[in-house]
Amino acid sequence: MSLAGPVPVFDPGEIFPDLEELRTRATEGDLPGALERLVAIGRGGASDQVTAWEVLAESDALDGPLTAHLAAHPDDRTARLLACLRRVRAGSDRAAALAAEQDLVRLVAEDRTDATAWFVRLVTAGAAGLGPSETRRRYERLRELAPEHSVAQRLMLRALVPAPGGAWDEVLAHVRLATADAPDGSPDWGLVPLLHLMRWHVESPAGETDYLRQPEVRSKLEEASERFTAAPCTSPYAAVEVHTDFAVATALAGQRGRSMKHFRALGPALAPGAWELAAAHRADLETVRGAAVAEGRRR
Amino acid sequence: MSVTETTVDGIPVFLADRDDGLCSGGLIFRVGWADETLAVRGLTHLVSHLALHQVVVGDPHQNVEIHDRYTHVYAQGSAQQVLNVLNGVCANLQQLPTHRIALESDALRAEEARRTEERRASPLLRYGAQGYGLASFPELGLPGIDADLVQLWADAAFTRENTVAWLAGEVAPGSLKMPLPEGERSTLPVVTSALGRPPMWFRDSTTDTLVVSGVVTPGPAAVVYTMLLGRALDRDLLDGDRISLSASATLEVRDAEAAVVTITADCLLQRRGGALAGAVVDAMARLRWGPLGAAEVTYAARAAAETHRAADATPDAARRRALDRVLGLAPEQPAWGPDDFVGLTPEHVRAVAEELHATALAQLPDLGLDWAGWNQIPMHSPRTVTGTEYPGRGYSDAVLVLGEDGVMVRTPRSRSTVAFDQVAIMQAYEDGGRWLVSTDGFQVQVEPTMYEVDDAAIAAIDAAVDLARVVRLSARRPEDLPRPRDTTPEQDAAASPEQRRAARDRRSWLRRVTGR
Repeated sequence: MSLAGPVPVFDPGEIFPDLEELRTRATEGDLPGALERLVAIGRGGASDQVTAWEVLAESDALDGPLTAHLAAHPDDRTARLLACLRRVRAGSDRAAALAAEQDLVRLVAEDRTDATAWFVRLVTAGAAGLGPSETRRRYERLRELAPEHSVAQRLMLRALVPAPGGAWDEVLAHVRLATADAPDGSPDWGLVPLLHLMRWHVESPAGETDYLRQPEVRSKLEEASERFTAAPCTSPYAAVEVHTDFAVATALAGQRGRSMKHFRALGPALAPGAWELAAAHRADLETVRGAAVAEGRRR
Repeated sequence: MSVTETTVDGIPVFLADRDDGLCSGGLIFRVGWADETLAVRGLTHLVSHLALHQVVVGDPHQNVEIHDRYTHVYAQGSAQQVLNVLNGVCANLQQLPTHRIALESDALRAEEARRTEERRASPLLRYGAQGYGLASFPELGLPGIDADLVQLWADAAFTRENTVAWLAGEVAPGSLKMPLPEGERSTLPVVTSALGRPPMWFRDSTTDTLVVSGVVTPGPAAVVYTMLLGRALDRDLLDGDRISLSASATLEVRDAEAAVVTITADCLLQRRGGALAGAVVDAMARLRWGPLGAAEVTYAARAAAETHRAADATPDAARRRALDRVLGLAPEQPAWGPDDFVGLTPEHVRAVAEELHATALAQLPDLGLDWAGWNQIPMHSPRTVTGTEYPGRGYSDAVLVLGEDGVMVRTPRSRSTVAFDQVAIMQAYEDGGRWLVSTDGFQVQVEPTMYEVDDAAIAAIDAAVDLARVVRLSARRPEDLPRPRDTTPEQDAAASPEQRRAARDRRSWLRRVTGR
């Protein structure tokens, strides 16, 4: 009998009460307060901050309050930047990214030390197809300002993924560099399962899992998983995505016990990326996830 | 060191000291290639070479330079050597050795072939195939220039009213002999515009160099802006992201109302793919909107004023004063001096940054700038022609259309039109080939080997084009005639994207600019 897991919760706002509180405040009458709080979240790290920005930018209910706020306060830098990210997320196409770009040029010109502005530019570089070296330029600028930006590391990895048949050297170098000095519990260890999931996805269009089951891949996944779980994750927000990647990659690699460990840490939470990528193996994954969560309840 | 002014033979002469025992001097004529039409492109250069005949022989210190608005004959050496050159040129201009036209034309064509610097499409796209836009073209008019035209041009342009001289060192101005004819003072070339909605960009993937140019108001603010922009490029492109090996911003005063800022930056091989354009856009944006303190501007202004003062203290100051005078930039005094840099504010500098952005034209080695809100240069003629259609030969999908008011080549992807009343040049080969360039820069090649055209069609084109725009050329060798496309559309489709893009860019720009 297969155990079904709990209904997945993908929305970071539902997973983290502080993010839900921020979203409610922004969309229900106190956008200035939410913007103030948004900046404060950033004190915990630029990478965590963008998770909060993304929660707001994904919300359709933000449009009205944000438009009204900008009409009254056209110079509010945080609101202008949020409007750029909102435009990208609402449109989710090249045209939307292009429209945001022009405002971003100005925002970065006004303050080139604003890590979040560079992060949004990194997002638009990919969405608008601005070219690999421009994407890297933005990434490097961001890394100068926020060396621990794990979300940027993941974005850059995705940008480096070659077309089918292409070389993976750059991606491997990127992951090696990012994990070389990463401490235990660092979200940067999540780049390892992400790399192998991306490579599996590109090189195994039929969905067969042979690639992930190779001994050297399993060994890399195991080592990275050990390092990631050896200490509490330095970013609770980032942990959801990293645990999901590990859970999915190790399950597909046949490392069921390790996968359960990560699903257990997630509880009902999941990040959509890897979960969607492995949609063809959903039933197997649900089984592992269900068993993990059930075991977690028993403990 | 001060510059003084005197007059010899009715011509102003600016004088400066020189303390190294050498002498130098020059004649600056208010005529340059921007005064020509494309059909006589090279005429000023040819006249200058004829004027130098038996005056200067292979000495790098004595030569002639043809610029857009002026021609500069200069010499350095002993007082006698300098006088020999300047007086000799003036004497030759009275009776040019026109029997040497063919020889000198060949020499100029060889000079063109040896050019190492590429001709760029930017001037053509900004100004069209006329005036300042002729910088994009080689000297296409040379084969059609005859003795009458040469002397006519010399008499009209190389006159007393259009000439200013300068001398530096121990050379007596009274020894100059400049019996130039009287004439009308020439106005500066008309500034034409072919640029639609700047800021604009175009791609030339045959080069790794990015070039951005724009027109600003000349003056100390433009000088300081260019200096700050150069520093920003240094910081971002060379030191910071290490995108380029060289990056610079220059300022050239065009006339009393306009100066051209030009950004030039190359791209390291491993940085291809958009970063160069991104970094330049950011550097430009920072001077429009970024933090710019009064102290930073004041410091740069002081440095610029010092540079200005230092330049004023060199023998070259006489040449610069002469140039200002001949261009009408400063009838009595220098256009601006070191003291004018005092009191510049960030707002002055930002105003220049806005001007540059509003008039900018970028040549990019790859990708585009639509993301930054810049518009792509149109690749199709705005005009169409209706009339008789002549299909392309071979696998070509192009159609030549000949109407009463113009000629057009149309493919499923493009359209290039030349209206007969807008012809900048028509090269007419004895073998029947015709190459027409419109003043807006679009071109049409009418080739019997490429299209199913007959003699009557060629005759109709000849009858419709102004003779003053026609350059007649001898028949080409059969192996040099253009051939119909010998690849099928399927083979074209199989080419890599890079091959296709390179081929497209080459067709669009190089052939458009050079005719090759």
